[in-house]
Amino acid sequence: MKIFIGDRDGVDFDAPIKVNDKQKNNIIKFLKEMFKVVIVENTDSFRNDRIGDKFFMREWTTREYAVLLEIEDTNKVAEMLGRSWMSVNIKRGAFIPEFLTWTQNKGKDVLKDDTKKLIEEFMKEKQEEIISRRKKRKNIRQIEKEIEKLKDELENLNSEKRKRQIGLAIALGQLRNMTVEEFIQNKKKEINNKIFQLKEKLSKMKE
Amino acid sequence: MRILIKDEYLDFEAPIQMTEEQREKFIRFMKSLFGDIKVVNVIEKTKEMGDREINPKKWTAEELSLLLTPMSNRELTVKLKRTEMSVKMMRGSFVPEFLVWAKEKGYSLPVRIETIKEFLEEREKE
Repeated sequence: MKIFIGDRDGVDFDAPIKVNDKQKNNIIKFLKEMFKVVIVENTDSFRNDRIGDKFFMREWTTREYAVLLEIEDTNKVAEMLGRSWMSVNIKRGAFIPEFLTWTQNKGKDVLKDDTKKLIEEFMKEKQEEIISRRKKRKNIRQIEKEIEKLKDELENLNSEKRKRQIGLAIALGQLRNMTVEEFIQNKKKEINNKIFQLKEKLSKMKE
Repeated sequence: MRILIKDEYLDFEAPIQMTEEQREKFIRFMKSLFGDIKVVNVIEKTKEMGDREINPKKWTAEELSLLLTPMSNRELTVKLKRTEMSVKMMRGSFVPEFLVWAKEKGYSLPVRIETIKEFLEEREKE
């Protein structure tokens, strides 16, 4: 097994590691002792890119947002979350105005009221917003993938292999009253329409 | 951070940032669990910022007081004639630090400019 150590303090495996139940539980326990927020999730697939291949962006979880508000020292927050000082600082700068607006709208005083309770209340509302934003992002990604798939299909229509398949379907009577070219033209029109509709949907979602 | 699991495999959702102490502890732990581990140093990819000259402008107490208001970063960018990144960065470091200090001192929001000056003076002394 290889462990990659980045020149900017990032740590990564060279590939997913094979573990038995005991090893898995030990690793999770160890990381939970070292970091404040550790979420264990089942996945369908692992990433191919490793540290050094690209710049990684990690989504912020609700529990991590709460840490941003609870702890004063940016270095400490970065250490507890396994994130860079810069990413914590920037996230804080983006998140704080939201919290201040919220407290003002609620008529609260962050200096006088119970901060922990305020954070809990704020995070409860924020969580719903984060979930809906995550759902929206997921839908956008799905539509983008669908468009890519349709574009591939469009390109494949011109391949000799695809033309032979269509010709065969016509010869077998599975496709009636049309030539290979007519079928391809109709299909292209149909796919282009679908792409157009999906792109419209996508731009509305991104508004 | 997220730890991803599939069948008998485990992975990080993305690389984890560790301090030197955390990293050494982590490697020691992994070695205790798996024995032979090879540590490889790599150059990380960073977000391209491009070449530009940065002339940091000192923040005044008046400007800092605006960071404590619910004004959005965009609004502050226009008002203070600073970049959005500089507003975000200053908000990220100044506001949490100031709020903890002000709470300890028993102040309430909105604070007066003098209070921010007092904070800055204390920090300078440290």
